[in-house]
Amino acid sequence: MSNNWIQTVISFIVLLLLQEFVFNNIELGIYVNIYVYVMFILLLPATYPPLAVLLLSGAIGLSVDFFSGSIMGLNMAACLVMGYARAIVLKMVTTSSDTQQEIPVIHRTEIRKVLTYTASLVFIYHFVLFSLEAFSISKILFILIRTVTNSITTTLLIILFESFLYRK
Amino acid sequence: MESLYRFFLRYHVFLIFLLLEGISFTLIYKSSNYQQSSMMSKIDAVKGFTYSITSKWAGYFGLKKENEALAKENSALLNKISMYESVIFSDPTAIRDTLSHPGRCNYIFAEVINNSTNRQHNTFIINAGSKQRVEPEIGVISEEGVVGVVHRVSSNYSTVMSLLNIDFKLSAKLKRTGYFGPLTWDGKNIREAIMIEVPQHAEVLKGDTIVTSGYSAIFPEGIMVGTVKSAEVKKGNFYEIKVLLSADLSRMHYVNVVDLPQRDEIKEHER
Repeated sequence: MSNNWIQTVISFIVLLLLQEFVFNNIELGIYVNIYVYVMFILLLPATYPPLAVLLLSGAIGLSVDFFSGSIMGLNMAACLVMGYARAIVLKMVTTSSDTQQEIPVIHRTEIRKVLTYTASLVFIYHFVLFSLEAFSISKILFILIRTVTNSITTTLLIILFESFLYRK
Repeated sequence: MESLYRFFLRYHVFLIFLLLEGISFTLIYKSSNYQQSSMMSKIDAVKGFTYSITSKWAGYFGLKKENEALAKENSALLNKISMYESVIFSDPTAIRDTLSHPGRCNYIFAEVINNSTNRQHNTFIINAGSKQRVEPEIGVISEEGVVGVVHRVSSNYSTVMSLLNIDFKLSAKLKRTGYFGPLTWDGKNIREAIMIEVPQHAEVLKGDTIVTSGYSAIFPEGIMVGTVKSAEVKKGNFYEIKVLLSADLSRMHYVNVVDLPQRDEIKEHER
């Protein structure tokens, strides 16, 4: 139990620093932003109560906002939606045959489930983020294109990092 | 009472989710309002220090291009000096009273130590702050043209609201004809901005130069913004002009903060 929490605190700090000092400085244009820090929400243990997941999601979102210094609350709002949706997606992805107590990560679960879990939550995050950023209905096509291109890059990167983290 | 309690117990996650979303929306609403908070400027000071170390090393990668741009600017300035010299020497009476002239503006040199171009609300950090007499709401230009407006200031660093920010608004004008209108960024292309409210009867040609209008206390008149890429009449009687920005904000390194001496006086009148 306490082991899990120590891991959570360390990954919180590491991902926050990586996001601010590495990924926020990689500029590949409007269509390829790298928000790898949402991996934190994806990898929270499945044993955590939903309320803890929600609060931790809000906390990392707010911290990223705070450090990146543009608009406060943008990432927080997006992370909260993602953290709330996590439980729902988790329930849809894991079937009774799986051990209920584990989140789907690469090398441990079949790739199809990992992809569904990661991509759908990353998509939700980006959609909320870009909608709030642009804040107008007339830009919906632009928002959707940005969401799709960014979700693809971020999902691929997260799966790549996971494959290093959870090596057999 | 019992059922209310059970309702809370059952939906507590959802209710707290709504509460937290409410908080984040309030934050978004508040920070879009272009306000300054002392807490943020403290964070900026720490970030400024960290980035000044990293940019010291990263700065070497663009040296060749920077050198070329500076050499170009140098020669342009030299040309200007020789032009003025020729005017002075040919007609010594041309310049009479240099003391009573208010002077145009002071330029405060600064280095960009952190920059973003891939968000909708882009900002960048420069290594000049209140100690160098930088203040909020004054303009920032690079050798290529307008790049932003100072947003927050700490003692040695400032956060600048980039031209590539959907909240950014600039009073611009067509250099050839003098028609003016606000210029904003639509958030889609980092080399393109939109200028509106130019009346339909104005003659707008592709390639026309667009400069700052000088109708505010932020920028002096006549600083390069960009050129007309295309123009079409939209929504009634006004042109919507696509402007090709002259400054490439994704690779700027050195900038100048423009301090207008008459700024306080102009602001007094704007009130």
